[in-house]
This record gives sequence, C-alpha cells and structure tokens, in this order.
Amino acid sequence: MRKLIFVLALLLIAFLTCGCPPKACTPNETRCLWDNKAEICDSLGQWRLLADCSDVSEWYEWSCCQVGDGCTCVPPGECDQ
Amino acid sequence: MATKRTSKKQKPMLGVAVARVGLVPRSMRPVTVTQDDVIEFWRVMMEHYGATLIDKTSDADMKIVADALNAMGIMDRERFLTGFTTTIGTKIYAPFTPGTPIGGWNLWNQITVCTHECYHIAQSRQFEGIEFGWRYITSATARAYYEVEAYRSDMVLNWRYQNATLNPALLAGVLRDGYACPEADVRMAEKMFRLSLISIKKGAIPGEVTQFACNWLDARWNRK
Repeated sequence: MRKLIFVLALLLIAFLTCGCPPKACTPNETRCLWDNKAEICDSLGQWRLLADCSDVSEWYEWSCCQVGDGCTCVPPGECDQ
Repeated sequence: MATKRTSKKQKPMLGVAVARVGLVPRSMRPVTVTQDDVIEFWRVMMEHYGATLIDKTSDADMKIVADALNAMGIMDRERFLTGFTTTIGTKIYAPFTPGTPIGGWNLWNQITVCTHECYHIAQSRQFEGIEFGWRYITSATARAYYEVEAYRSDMVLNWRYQNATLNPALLAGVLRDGYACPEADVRMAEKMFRLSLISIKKGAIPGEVTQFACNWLDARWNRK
C-alpha cells in the first residue's frame, strides 16, 4: 500500500511539473490587452507577446488594433480606419 | 542559436515610412553600406551587448557541433559552418570578418545578422543561467518564437534602409528548413511576421535591440 501511494505521489508530482499547462487559447488567435499589448496564441495554446504597442515608436503612442485577421500596432488615429 | 542569411533577393517596395521625427519622402533610396559602416556597427553593438566575436570556421567547438548535426542528418557540416552565424550566451560565432564580404555574407547581411544575434543575447539575459539555451533546444515553440523576434529585426532593417520587404511566408519557411520547427509553429511564425510587417511598414520599430541599432544607423546614414 505504501509503495502504491509512493508511486501515485511520484506520478502526481511528475504531472504537476511536466510543464503541460491547460490550453488557454486557440493557436494563432490574437488579442489586444488593456495595456496596449498585442498577444498571439502559440501552438501549445499559451499566450505570447506579439508586440508592445506603447514601445514601437519613440515619439508616438501607437495603438493595438484588429487589422484583418489579427491584432497589431498602428499609429495614432488609424485604428478606426 | 543559428540564423540563416536571407539569400533570396527581395523585390524592393516603395512606401511611406512614418519616422520617429515625422514623415519621410515616399521614395527613399536604399543605403549603400561601406566596409567602415560594418566594422563600426559591429564594434558598437558588441560593446553595448557585451558580445564576443569568434571565427566560426576555425573554432573547435563549432566543428564538433557541425559534425554532430551532420551525423544526425539535421544539417550538412559545411552549410552549418559557413552559412549560419551562431550565438551561444554572449559569444557570436560568425563565418566572416565584419567588413570583409565572403560568400553570401555581403556587407548588408553582416549588418542585419549582427542585430539578429544581439537580439538573442538580449533574450538570453531574460533568464538565469542556461535556461534560455535549454528552452531554445528543447522546445520548438520557444525556438520559433525567439527566432521570430530576431528575424523581425531583419524585417525592420530591410524595410527601413533597403526599401525591401522580407516575405513572411518565406521567413517562416526558414524556421521549418533551418530550425526544425514543426508546421504548427511555422504557422504561428508566419502570422507573427505578417502582422508585424503591417506595423513595420508604417514605421514601427519593435524591440529594444532593433531600436538601438536603428538609432545608430539613422545617425550614421543621416536618416534623422
């Protein structure tokens, strides 16, 4: 019995530490966050930073915007075009 | 991590680039890179990012890696040693001397690959110890993502200084052919490149490394 519990404990630890988080999104899906960042869903179903739209220009505050089939950064005033 | 030079010539495209200080002329001539430009650029970038340059073709460690890749059927030995620049930690293994064209490494490619490799150095600094290298080697998804970030700097430089558009699909294909990334990651890469190109053509410069490089190149080539 102890051996069984030990083995189950090992399996549980292995599962928890396997680096296999549940999928949070659909691969290649994109989104704009409230802090002006664009993210893309990778092939493992995890969000990754695509671009920080507040940091692509030294002089202008760009915006994260849906363009075609995805989100990207556009200059001020272009998001609604 | 290796980078492959972009050997195909891209069709130049004209367009309006909204520079950081205002509008620039619709048609901007591609810059002509000199030997001194390359030498000085490499010096500045290496100093800023703490890089060391090593001759790849004569390095014993790189030859071992080349033999291993060849033995595993991943890549031809000579192709790895002469066609790619590899960065491990802060060591950049290049098959050329900055400022001296050789093979496909013309002066412009030497500028873009320097930025690309410094991007990898900056990426590795986000992690402790060997974690970046471990992620790069063991995760195709992580490897694809890191290479997209670095190749995006190539896109910026080619657009900004050569009026050239690097094709997102072709760039993504490089990840399949040169970095052993599976199709799912290649699709992610293609979309990242495609969406980034929209911003880049409007003048965006994503990433600190690319911004640092462009600041220096703008001043060097009087683009400010």
